[in-house]
Amino acid sequence: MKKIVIIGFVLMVIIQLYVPVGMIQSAEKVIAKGKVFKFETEPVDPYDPFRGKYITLRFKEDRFTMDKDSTWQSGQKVYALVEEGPSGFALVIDLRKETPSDTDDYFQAEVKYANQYKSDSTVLTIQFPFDALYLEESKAPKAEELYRESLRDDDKLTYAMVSILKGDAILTDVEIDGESIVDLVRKANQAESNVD
Amino acid sequence: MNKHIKKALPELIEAEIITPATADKIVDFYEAKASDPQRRLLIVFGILGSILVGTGIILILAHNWDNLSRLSKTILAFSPLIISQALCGYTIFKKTYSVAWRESTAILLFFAIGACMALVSQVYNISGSLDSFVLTWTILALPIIYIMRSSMASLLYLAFISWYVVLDWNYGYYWLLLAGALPHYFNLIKRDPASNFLAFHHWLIPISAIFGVAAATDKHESLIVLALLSAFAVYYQIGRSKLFESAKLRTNAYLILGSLGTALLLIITSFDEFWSYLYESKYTWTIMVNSKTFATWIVAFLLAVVGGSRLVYRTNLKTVLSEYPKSVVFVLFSLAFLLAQSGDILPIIIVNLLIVWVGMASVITGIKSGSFTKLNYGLVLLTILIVCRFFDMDISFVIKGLIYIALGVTLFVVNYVIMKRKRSTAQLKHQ
Repeated sequence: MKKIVIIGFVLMVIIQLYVPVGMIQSAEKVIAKGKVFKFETEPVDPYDPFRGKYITLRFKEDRFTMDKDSTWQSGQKVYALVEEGPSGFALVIDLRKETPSDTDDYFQAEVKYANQYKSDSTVLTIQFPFDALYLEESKAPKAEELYRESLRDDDKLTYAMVSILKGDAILTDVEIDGESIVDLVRKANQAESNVD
Repeated sequence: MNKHIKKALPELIEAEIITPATADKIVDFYEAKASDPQRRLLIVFGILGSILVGTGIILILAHNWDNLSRLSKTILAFSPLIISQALCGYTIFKKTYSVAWRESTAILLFFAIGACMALVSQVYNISGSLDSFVLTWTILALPIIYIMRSSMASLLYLAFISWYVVLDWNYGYYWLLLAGALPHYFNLIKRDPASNFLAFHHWLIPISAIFGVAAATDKHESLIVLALLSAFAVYYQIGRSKLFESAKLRTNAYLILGSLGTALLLIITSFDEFWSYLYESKYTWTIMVNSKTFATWIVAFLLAVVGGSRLVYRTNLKTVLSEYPKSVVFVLFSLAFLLAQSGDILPIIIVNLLIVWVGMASVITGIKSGSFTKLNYGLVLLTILIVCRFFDMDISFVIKGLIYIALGVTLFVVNYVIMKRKRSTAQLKHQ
């Protein structure tokens, strides 16, 4: 009896470690081997009880007009093919139901709404899987402020840096005019404490 | 611990009959067995402490230090998990017989799994959905129940799968998840029928399963009422089974849930809206057959038929019809549902009669057995029925008011008379 418990215990420990280690491994693989794309964004500051503070990113291009296909449904999984556009920002060039085999530059997303009102086309709104940047509690509000300011300021560009590899996408940073939002918050906090 | 055994241990070690390790085990075993109130208090505080520490860890980790490197954050993410696992290992090897150790370390490990996954997804900005996060967490936590033999882990697991099915409505695998917790539940029934842990399980399992049934709602919402009513009938039958024969009412969750659930559904469907909607939506069985709700209903219905037959077998048909109508009303309700295809009048009449039946049966058995609970359950049910019907009718407030007063007085008088009669019989017995 004791032996079974010990074997069971060892298996349990392995499985419980394997899942988070697996999460890390696949994320590291995407970061190391994936291609980095810049996604132009639009923000809010909710609170995830398990994962702390984060800023939510809204992407400028999240609506796509497709050929009429009434089988699209909200909640459905979709593969978004990405390409670097002429401005240097990522463009979603196609949405597919099946796993693409002709390229590695795609990520899996979810159909948020499928608008079927038009007779000749279907408009899909996509939920991006990389829509939250986790930040330390005290920094999140400041970061959000900076993020909002930059969105109001037409001259400033705000974008998410995302590594993409065969369906997986990992958000590595949010930048405002080429500078990481984390560094910008640090600078802003330093400036404030200097004034004090 | 038996002093005689304690005295004998050094002697036995010296004589090399037992090893010092075995002696320790014997001491542990008797210490764990001693069922003094102090030990129970220790279990309670152990559990409370672990829950607080566990949630504390999650909150601290949620704090998210972004000035740490990715590697140090990852190490931090794993430390609560590894420490909890080590504590569980220590418990298995050294404190197998201590309930306080087993329960406390099991709870810590339960929360540490969630904390670890949460922090890893935070480090890599994996936003993911809350439902898949809770699902993975729950599945990883399932073995804790059996390996640590922890009832608290089982209760947490049940709470989490219920949360999950609410998050991811329409999730068919819920029943597999629930089945995962059942062996522990059955084991508790067999080995520890008087424990508080079992009483909590008796409540949590049927409540969770109701979420599971309700989550099977798809395009045919009305059908779910049939499925729920059959499920409540099954609960009621379980509550009336041998297992709960000598149980106190407060631990007989099946009876309470089955009884209240049936009454509530009957009252809701006694209004004409439900049936006229059903009639107007022009449903046909052929459309409904191909739905998850239908399958759920069939399973619940068959279970209720089996349970009902067993109850009839144990008592007799007359007793079931006169005393336990709640265990069979689902059959007639299903008939009413079938008739709703051709009109909404007949089903409404059937449901109202069902309520009268259930209410009267309860009043009569209440009077016969001198049980105020049964008597008032019946009276309240009948009162609600009358109040609801007068809502439907277009009569003056004065008449409505008079009827309500009459109902109130009836409730009071009947209780008073029964109480008096009970007292006089008690006095007679005394003399």
